Amino acid sequence: MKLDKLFTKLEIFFNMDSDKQKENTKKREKLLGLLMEKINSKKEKIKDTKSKEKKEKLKEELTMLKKLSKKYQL
Amino acid sequence: MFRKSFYPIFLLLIAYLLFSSEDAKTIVAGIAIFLIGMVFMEDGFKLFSGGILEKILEKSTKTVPKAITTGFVATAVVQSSSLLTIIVISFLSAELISLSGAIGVIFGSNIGTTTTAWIVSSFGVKIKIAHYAMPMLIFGVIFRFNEKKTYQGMGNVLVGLGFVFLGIGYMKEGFEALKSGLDLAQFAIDGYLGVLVYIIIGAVATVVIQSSSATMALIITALATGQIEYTNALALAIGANIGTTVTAIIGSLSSNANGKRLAVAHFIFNVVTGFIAIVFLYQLADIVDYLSDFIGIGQTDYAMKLALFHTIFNVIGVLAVAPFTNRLVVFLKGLFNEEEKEIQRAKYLDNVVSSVPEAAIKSLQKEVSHLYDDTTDALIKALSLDKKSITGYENNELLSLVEKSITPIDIDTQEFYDKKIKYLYSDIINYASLSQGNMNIEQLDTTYSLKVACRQIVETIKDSNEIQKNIKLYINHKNKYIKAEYNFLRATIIKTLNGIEQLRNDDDEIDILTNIKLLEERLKKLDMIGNGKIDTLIRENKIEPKMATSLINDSAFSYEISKNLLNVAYILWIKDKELLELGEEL
Repeated sequence: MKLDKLFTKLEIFFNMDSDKQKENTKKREKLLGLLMEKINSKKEKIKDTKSKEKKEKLKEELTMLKKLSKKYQL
Repeated sequence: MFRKSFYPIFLLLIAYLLFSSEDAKTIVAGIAIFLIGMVFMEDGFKLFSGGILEKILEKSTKTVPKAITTGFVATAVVQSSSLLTIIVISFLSAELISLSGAIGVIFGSNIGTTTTAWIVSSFGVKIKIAHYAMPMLIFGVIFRFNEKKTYQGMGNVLVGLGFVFLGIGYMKEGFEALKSGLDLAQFAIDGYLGVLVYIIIGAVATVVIQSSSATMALIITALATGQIEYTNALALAIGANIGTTVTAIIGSLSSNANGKRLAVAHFIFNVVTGFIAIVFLYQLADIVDYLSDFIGIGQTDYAMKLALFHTIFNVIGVLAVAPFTNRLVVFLKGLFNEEEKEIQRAKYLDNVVSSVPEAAIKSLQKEVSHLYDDTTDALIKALSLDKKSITGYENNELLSLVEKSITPIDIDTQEFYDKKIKYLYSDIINYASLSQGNMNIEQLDTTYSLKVACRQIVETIKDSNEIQKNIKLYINHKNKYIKAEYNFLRATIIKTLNGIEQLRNDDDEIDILTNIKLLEERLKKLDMIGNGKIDTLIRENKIEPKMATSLINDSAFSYEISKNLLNVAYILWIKDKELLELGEEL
């Protein structure tokens, strides 16, 4: 147990702890960025698609992507 | 029989050696400590590498030259050709690398393993290496007490290195002390007879010690202290190379076809290399002398010369055998054929690999996919459908295709479960339990999810057994309403399967998650019990009460089948942890 505390202290001392937090924040930001990118590209695709069926499918995907990104932002 | 009687004789011989000579005791203790060090180092790298080694191997084995380079560098860094072999077998089994790529890695690994000889001859015998062992052991043990697997892995590597250094120190000390009492060099044998005798001694020593690195350390320390002659040491090194393949062949006996193929490739390589080295031994010794002058190795520095010889003859072996890799692949595939068996067992799992977490997870993922594919093939038949007639269509075309397929297909799903699924399922669960020992929390989570996926796949086949009887009964029934409802159930499952087939090869995991979630939403809308469709049919007297109860039950089974299939797809084809958590939340 004492050794464990020592390691935790060492991690804090060497900033490894905040590195992890930074890494997690980076990951979240990256995924959120990817989701937003996807949403925008879907919007573009909907504009460019003439087929009604395909348009409908893309719209469904767009709605789901929006739901996912909204949930992720919470 | 031989093994049983050999073991006590071997123990007695060691005991006699230990009691009769203090120096022999020091040497044997050195070998034992060295071997323990190798075990610790290997265990450490398994925990410590965190999948880096696996990622490198997966990406850098496309061509044979690339694979050879990767095998060389990886073995030189981790100092364990057996760890590399384990990972290569798992990747080969999981079809992540080709057989020619795997063979290339093994060839390269043979050159990489010669770096041990360089380390021992350059540091081990020239400086008091045992002094460096103590701090390594102390810090290694401290790290080993930590709860985190990375620290434990680092600790194991340090403890391993410490023991290796300590072992070399003991061997050197033992040989130096032995020299004052007994000069082994007096047993030197000249000419080709000496070469053959020492090759056999080297091979037998490696088979007994089970490590060519330990044998090489022993040869180099004996040579450095003048206990054996240089030419005899060269023959011993060739023998050690041959001996190590015997160990590999014995190890592969319980392995799958891929393990056997690699072991035989290794055997062929080492025998050919050994043969070349024996025939051209004196010429090779001249080349070593020439190169030694060139790179600044002293005339009498025989330990370093031996390390150079070890590297040169392995490089020559690779140059001689590598051009025939493709022929070797054809030969090995013919030699160990994977037959279609009556009882289905795991295709991608090899117990040798279970101790390397990342490799074990990759093998498990591949095997669960295999279980999924086999189960869905049977499921399609249980729905009285032919896979070929529904493949490649869009979801909106599927209902009419299902309506046209009205010929009942006989498949005994219980027998299918007993012969094809049950054993495969138990193999996966057994393997997952075996692999969990070295895993970190994240890896344990992934393994747990894969076990859940397996259970859901098995439930799918059991549920399909329940609906199969009524499907056969109602797809040709004169009551058009019940017929339509059962076709609807069949089409719902097929649409889910079709949707999964379309997304499983997608590289973009966000797309995969989006499509799984869309399929889930559609499935909820189609749930007959939930949407009151069956109530309407009963109220309007369109189906009989008996039909209604069957439909209620089968509708629930169909819904469960589709839901389970989507859960399995989610576990198998989304690897990103963040996305997985997001999917679970929604």
